[in-house]
Amino acid sequence: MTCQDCEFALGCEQSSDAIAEHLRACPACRQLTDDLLANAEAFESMSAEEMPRVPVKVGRPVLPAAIGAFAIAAVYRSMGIKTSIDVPEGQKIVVGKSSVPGGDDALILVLSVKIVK
Amino acid sequence: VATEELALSILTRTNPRDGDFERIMSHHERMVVSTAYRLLGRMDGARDASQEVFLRLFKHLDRIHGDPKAWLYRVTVNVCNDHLRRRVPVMLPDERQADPSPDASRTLELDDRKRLLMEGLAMLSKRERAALVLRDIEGLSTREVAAILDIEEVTVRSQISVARVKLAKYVRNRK
Repeated sequence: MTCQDCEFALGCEQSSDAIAEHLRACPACRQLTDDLLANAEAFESMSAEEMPRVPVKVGRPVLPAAIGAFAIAAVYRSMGIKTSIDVPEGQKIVVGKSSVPGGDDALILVLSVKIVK
Repeated sequence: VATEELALSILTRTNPRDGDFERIMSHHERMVVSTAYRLLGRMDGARDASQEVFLRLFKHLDRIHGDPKAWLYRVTVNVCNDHLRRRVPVMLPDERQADPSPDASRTLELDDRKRLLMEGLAMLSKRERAALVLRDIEGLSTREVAAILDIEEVTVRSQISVARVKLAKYVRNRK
């Protein structure tokens, strides 16, 4: 067995007589075994680390209730679109586009209206 | 952390499952953030990616039936790959506080190794990194990883083996 074969087998968590024999004769692959075990312990520790919350929430009051839309709002920056529009029922209207300050992103607001009463 | 409010997306829904969304998000938030952090190497990027994942979840909630875990992992990997394509990947791990431990030197050694592993993850190919993060940090089975990444199990095993050896050598050379 070559070191390359042994490395691949160790990476696959395989064990065999041939691997054991190679390890007895090869200090570099024995070192790799120890390193892989230490890394596995570190990965396990990483999997238990605490993570911060994501600032995403579902909210309804972003638009007037009469519009009947639901919105996702992320805590980030203030921005908005101010314009007067006529919206025929059932038709989608692009209300406007607003650039996000300090970035390449933009908010594009599309509305459609359904009269329920 | 930004503090003001931005409407990222306005989505009209005829039959919103807001309760489902909140339930799924609260159960899987840590999973998504953690995966994104390991794939991107930075917490600010991970937060942005996680927001995008949950926006997609909200948008496609009606199409998701049963356990959304695999869907969320797949979308997280895709969103992170998009982020890495759009931006020059800078995988400099955030400074993290060491966990309190009676054995300070062992904790420092473990933290040092974790820091080096985060650096080393940046050296892997995107496919190797995704496979390794899902298998070794998220603890998924080879079959689950293969399904999420839409590749054969034998390919996953090969990618993970190569990635583990690369990382072991990277950490060894840096210590």
